[in-house]
Amino acid sequence: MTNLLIALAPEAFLVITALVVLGIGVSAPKARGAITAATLLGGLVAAAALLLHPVDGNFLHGMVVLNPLARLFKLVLLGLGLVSVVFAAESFPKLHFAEALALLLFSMVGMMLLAGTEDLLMIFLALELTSLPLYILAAFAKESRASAEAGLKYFLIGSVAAAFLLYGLSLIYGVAGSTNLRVIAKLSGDPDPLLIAGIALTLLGFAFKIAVVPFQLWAPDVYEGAPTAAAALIASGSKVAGVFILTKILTLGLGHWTGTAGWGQFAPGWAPVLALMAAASVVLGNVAALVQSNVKRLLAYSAIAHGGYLLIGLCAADAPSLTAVLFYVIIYALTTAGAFGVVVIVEKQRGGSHLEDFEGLGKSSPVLALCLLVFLISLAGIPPLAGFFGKFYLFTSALANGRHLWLVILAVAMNAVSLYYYLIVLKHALVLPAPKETVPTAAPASKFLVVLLALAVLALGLAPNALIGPLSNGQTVKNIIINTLQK
Amino acid sequence: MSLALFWIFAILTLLFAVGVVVFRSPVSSAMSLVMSFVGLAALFVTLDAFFIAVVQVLVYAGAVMVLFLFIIMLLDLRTEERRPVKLAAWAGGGIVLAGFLVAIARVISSLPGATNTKPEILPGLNDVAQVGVALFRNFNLPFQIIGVLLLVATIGVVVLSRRELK
Amino acid sequence: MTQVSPLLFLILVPLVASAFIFVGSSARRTALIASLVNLVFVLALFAVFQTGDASYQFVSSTPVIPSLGIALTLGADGLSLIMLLLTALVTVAAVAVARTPDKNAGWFYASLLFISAGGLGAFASIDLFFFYMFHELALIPTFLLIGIWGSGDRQAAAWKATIYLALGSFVLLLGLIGLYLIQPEGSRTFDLRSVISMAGLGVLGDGTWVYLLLLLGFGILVSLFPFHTWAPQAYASAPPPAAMLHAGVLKKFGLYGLIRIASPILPEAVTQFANLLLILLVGNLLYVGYVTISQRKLDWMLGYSSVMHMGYIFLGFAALNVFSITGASLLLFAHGLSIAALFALSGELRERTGTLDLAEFGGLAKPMPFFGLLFGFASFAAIGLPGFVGFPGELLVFFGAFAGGEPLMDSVNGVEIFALNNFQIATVCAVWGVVISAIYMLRAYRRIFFGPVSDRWKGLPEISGVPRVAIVTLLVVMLVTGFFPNLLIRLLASTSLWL
Repeated sequence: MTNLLIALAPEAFLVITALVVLGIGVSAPKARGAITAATLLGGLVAAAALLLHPVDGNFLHGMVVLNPLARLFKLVLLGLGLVSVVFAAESFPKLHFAEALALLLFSMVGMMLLAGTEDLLMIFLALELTSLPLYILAAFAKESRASAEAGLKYFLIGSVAAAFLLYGLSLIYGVAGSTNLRVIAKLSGDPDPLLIAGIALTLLGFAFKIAVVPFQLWAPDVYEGAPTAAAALIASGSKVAGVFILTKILTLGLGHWTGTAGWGQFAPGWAPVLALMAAASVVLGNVAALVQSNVKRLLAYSAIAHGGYLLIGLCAADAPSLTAVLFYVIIYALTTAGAFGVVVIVEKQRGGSHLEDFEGLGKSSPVLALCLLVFLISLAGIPPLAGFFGKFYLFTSALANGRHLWLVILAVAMNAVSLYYYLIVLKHALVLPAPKETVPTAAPASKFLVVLLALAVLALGLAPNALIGPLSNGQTVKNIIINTLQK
Repeated sequence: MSLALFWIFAILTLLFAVGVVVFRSPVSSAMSLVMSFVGLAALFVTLDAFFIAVVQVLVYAGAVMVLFLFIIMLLDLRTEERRPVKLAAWAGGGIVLAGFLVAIARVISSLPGATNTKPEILPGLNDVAQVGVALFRNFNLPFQIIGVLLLVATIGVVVLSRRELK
Repeated sequence: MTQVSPLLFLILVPLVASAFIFVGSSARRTALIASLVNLVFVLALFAVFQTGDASYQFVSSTPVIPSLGIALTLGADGLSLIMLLLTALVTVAAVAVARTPDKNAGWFYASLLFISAGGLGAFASIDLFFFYMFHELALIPTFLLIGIWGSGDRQAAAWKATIYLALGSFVLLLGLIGLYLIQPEGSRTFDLRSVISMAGLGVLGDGTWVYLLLLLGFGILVSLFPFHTWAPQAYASAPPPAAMLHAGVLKKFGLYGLIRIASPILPEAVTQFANLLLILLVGNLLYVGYVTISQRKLDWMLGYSSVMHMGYIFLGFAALNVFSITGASLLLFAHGLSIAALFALSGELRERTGTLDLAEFGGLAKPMPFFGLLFGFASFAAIGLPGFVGFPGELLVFFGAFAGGEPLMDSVNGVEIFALNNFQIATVCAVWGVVISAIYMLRAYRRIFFGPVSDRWKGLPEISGVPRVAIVTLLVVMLVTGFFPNLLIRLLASTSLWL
């Protein structure tokens, strides 16, 4: 019991922090510095709890499962959440600031619970706890029509996706008789049609969470309309949590029904479905991004494309590919969070996030421009940055599996396309002169964080083993894919 | 007998659910929703889940619907204008849908696992006391999380619906 | 191995220098010092290099991702050392002739240094992953250099070059991954030496498709016909130092890679597709050569000529014998220096006259006799006249290629006679290539420097100062190695043993 308390201590600290922040918001709504400080402090306490008292084990019949991999992801999610908290100071409306930060904290709690569970019921609740605050945050800029539209769209599509997901999970539960993934994994023999339907509906539900075809429609509008700090968390943390738990469900619980996604040798299972979703997302995301004029929309389409790349790794479903997927999603999240950070600062200086608003950035704030360069070429997969290594690892391991050449070739071709739109942003930021003189507004905390993220992206590109080591050694990835390996 | 009841209530539930979307008057839609919920409750009864059936009626058909009607009244919603029906669009959509359903049915019925017996789920939880024990003992953590979820929803409603003083 | 290779220092110098530039040290001076330091350093490496030893020297290896067999393994043999010297020389020359731009000077010099670091890293890598990665380091700087400081339709040129180069790189990456995957499972590695020894043991899987991917990827990067259209436009628009570094150094990466990777590991595939490559390289030599003759502007002409000259090196690679490969290696060096000198001179010319249209020039030898002399020497070097290092290179390639392939016999009325095989036909075409390059180089030389001098050009200032020293250095190196090609061939002879 005490172990369970320690295991859940980080989440508990965050909930308490959120309540404290709400309290400060009621008594001193203007003290935004104090509110941010309290939030960050709570986050650091939670991180300390996570790092200083690591507990491993299985509590409450799989509702809370902690192992090194889960703790690593909790830490990453916590970090991404705190990054959004810092950006929030620059991009959220001044009104109800405390509520906004409390909602960010609640969303982080949901993500962290998601990383540490093997139970369908908990997965659904944690997903809802992740999403509900984000729906509200997307609509938080009340004077902006775009924000209201973003919130409504996100909420409506999210609810439909949640319904799909809940239906799918309950069918899986009905067939397996348990919500525990390890018990579900004991199902064998011929697949039950209800199970197939359950898997299909679950995949559709997750398509929303990680923004891939066919539930990708919300992403551009939400990324554009939502306050940028909220969009940053939607693009980074929410995606990491979604990919992690999807990996866990598919490999730990449903590893028997992988199927094959090789060209001309489709075998029934979730892999061929994922392969089609991946192919559609990679093509749609990269092609649609070509014509965007708003950087946030462009990042949204690039997010769809990157979701597709991730699914390619999931299709391969062996230990190296899954390590590659998890590595890639973390790198992607760090990079995207950084790119949104640059957008936050530019928006504050120029009042918009259109391509024209980036013009002359290289001259007015070279450090920021350099960071943007790092983030975008990492997303494009150019060495020596982490994004290149992520793609390299992902494609190599998907190819080593021997069946996914068609997907990889498609992805590589589309990746060449993606370079074009990333370079368009860089052209505006570095090549074109500023239309009018702008006064750089100080945003020291955000700027510091952006530089930090850029350094992290560079460092992980030079020494990827710092992250791949923990992901691929011993008990980690093997923990979640044990069934796939035994198959 | 129970199979016949299942079909009757299932069809009723679905018909009224369609009604929610089709009716143009908000009040008719809301009343359809009530009927749909009642049908759902009856389905729960046929599954021997009496407690959930009762909760379904009390909470959804009762409390939630009253709130719906209040809001409809407060906002003074009028009947929606009827849009002209595009026959071609309906026919096209119907054909695609029918084809999709046939394809799904054929795939599913061709799977050999269709005749597997389903496992027993949980022993019946019909006693309110049993439900309470299960909720606070076995499912305590999810219960707490739902508490946080409700807090989030409350914050959202307050923040988003509040009229700001200038 | 814990020892640190001196080659790492070589790569780090430009990167550290660009970091210094970003924190505010004087851009031009820092870049010049860094490139001079590197040149001295490479010369020191030459001094301590053991000529008779065919294996890699100065080796150090740091595991980066052990589970994938990736390590930062640096090392140099004769061929890499020659390429490193080329890179260091061209970098010094490029920085020396660069005109500091009004805006973003820091970004300008940092980009040049990044290209240089990319070239150095690629030529010093034994690990194929890093070999690729270092080359990619130069992609974005190239885009920036052309896009920001270029001339003419620089945006279009920058896009075209970047998309072509990126596409080529991605195909190349697939090829390298393929090379990794045809290794037996469990011992997969990116270490070139291990892969070569595996090839020797015959444990590699079918490498045909890998070779095709490599040929396509490297081919796009080297502007192999018909994937060459990005190159002339990019070089015409690029600022002179960028064109020097790219045409002189980076473009050699693809051919270096083919010689390094394909010839020892996939010789069967090279032989199997030799005819395809021969057709393409004859396209480079004759078709592109013809296009070069018809150019009206000096920068475009030089761009096309740099594409055309790749044909000789491809020929040396395709024939796959010791002579031809040694010749190809010499040509890598020779062409890198000569094209760099020519781009430097054309940049100086544009700086003085504001145009590069051949029709507008005439008689420039009067106001600028020394400039004319330098241009003449550089043209002769590009054609491959005796006395310049291009001459032994072309000679070896022609001899090697003529001996390439199976001798072909034909019989006329029952009498056996020799017939030309495809390699020999290609060699004959290649010799005509020399004539073509003589035509356009000499014609350009005559148009610019001889004839009546118009009043516009009477007061042109002579080339002087740092650029003069830099270009003279390039020419002197070409002359010295041209008269004493053994200085280089001695280094290559041991390298060519692995064929």
